[in-house]
Amino acid sequence: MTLKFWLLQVPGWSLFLLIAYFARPSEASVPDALQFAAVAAVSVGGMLASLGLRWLYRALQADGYGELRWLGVLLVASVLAALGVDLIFHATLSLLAGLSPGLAALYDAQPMISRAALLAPAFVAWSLLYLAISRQTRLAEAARHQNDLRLALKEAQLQRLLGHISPHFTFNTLNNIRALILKDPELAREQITRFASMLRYPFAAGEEALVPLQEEMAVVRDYLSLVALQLGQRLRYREQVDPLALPLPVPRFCVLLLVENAIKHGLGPSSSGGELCVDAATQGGALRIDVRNSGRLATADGSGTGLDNLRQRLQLSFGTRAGLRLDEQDGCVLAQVWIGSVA
Amino acid sequence: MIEAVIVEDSELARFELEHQLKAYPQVTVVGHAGDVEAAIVLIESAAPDVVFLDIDLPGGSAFTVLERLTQVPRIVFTTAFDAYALKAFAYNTVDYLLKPIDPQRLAQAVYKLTEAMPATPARRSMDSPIFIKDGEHCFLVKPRDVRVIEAVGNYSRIYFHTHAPLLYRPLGAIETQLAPEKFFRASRKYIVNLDYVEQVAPWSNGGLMLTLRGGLEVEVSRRQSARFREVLSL
Repeated sequence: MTLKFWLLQVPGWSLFLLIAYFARPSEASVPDALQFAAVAAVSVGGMLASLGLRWLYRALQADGYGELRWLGVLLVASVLAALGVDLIFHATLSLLAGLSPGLAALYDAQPMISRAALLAPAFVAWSLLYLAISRQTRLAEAARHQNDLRLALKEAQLQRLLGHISPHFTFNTLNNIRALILKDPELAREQITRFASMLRYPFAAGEEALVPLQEEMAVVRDYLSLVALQLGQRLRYREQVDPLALPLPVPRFCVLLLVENAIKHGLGPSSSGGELCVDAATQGGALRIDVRNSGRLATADGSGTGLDNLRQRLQLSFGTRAGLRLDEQDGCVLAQVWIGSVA
Repeated sequence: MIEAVIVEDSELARFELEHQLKAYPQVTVVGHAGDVEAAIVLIESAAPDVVFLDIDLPGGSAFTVLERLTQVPRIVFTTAFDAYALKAFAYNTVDYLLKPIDPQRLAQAVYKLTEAMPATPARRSMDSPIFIKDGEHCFLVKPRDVRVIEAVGNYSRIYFHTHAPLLYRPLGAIETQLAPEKFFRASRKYIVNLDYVEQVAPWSNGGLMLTLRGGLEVEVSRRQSARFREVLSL
């Protein structure tokens, strides 16, 4: 704002100076240089007065006046500013008139209020321009601010949806642990710790959207160990994670969501259960995560929303350099996420 | 003595419920099942008084089990969360327990079972309900409430109270499950509950026309009319 203000202010008042100089009434008795100096002094005075106007308008903008009221304020302020500059100039000139015959001639030639006629329209024009530009700037700023808010809200919503732990899973887990307390108290204690770290995960590490794969995999293992209480022998889990991939950033809940889908739509509903594999591989900084479960890919079974959210999450963090694909391959459902490369 | 079967997806959940039921000496757990197929086989063979039935089951759901049972015992649904699935039932005829199960709620459920259990098993066939799922609506209908059953192709329409849902089972198959002294095959199209017959009038061709309580009229074929007179010793 300030830079833009001065970039307009300086040429604006220079233009005023030129117009005032060439439009001046000819005064043969006063040297040209002195006349120019007088016009320059008026211009500088005008510019200083415009700073006063800016201060006034800024103070008033907070009140949110209507257009008519602004017009009144603007006209009165412009005329008063013009008269003020003129008076100060005239008073100063009257003090200086005794110093040289040139100044005395200038003082005689230009009566009081004669400059106000040129200054007043200049202030009106200045004020209109100032108010128009500042209103425009403020509107643009408000729009940008609103857009930022919308994005932040969307991101927060997305994160909340992704981190949603199914109540079905929660209550089944509690019920299973309740039984485990009778059967194997040591294991029950362990499972409660795992459950706690799972419940804590959505809030961990400042709720950052991205976490190292290592952290995500730890939660996936906690989750699967709890699911195993429910599914027993029906869950057969295998994972193969390249150690180089462990520090790479992934969206929080990314693998967890895919594994949850595999359980919910693949192994859970099947009487014989099945196999679940998580593979993570890296090449040249790019990461590929495969989540595979035995079973068929059901169409339109409600798993779409979670995957859509994850797609949006990937796009927010990585743009087009990340993606998600769901496929059926050799009697397996394969969910694949890639990050940091083009598909 | 109440014989119970537990149908639960998870082994720990079966263990947990059986443990909780130990507090009730009048309830004996006679078997467990972990999925839809095993549940159907077990319930058909053990014919328990009550089934504690998890709604979410591998291989389908509790409704898949109920639809395929010829005789439905009393059901107490158990569920971790989706009790809303039970809203499909037209009446509040079913009981359900949320897992983990609150001991007080279990006590209530067992109390209701003890109250409702008929003293003589002979009456059971009129009281053990038929499960019907017609679109979004579920019904557990006691045979004693059924007035008429109408054949509609491979389906049968069950008239009871103010409802008439469709059941995917042919009329002949239903007939074999009903008490013959109460349910009379009036024609190829109809089975009538004799308790609801209000008026009997002669009809064309030597048949009969029955008027039932609640206003339904059912024609008895000529061949069956003779049997009808026999049964009612008219």
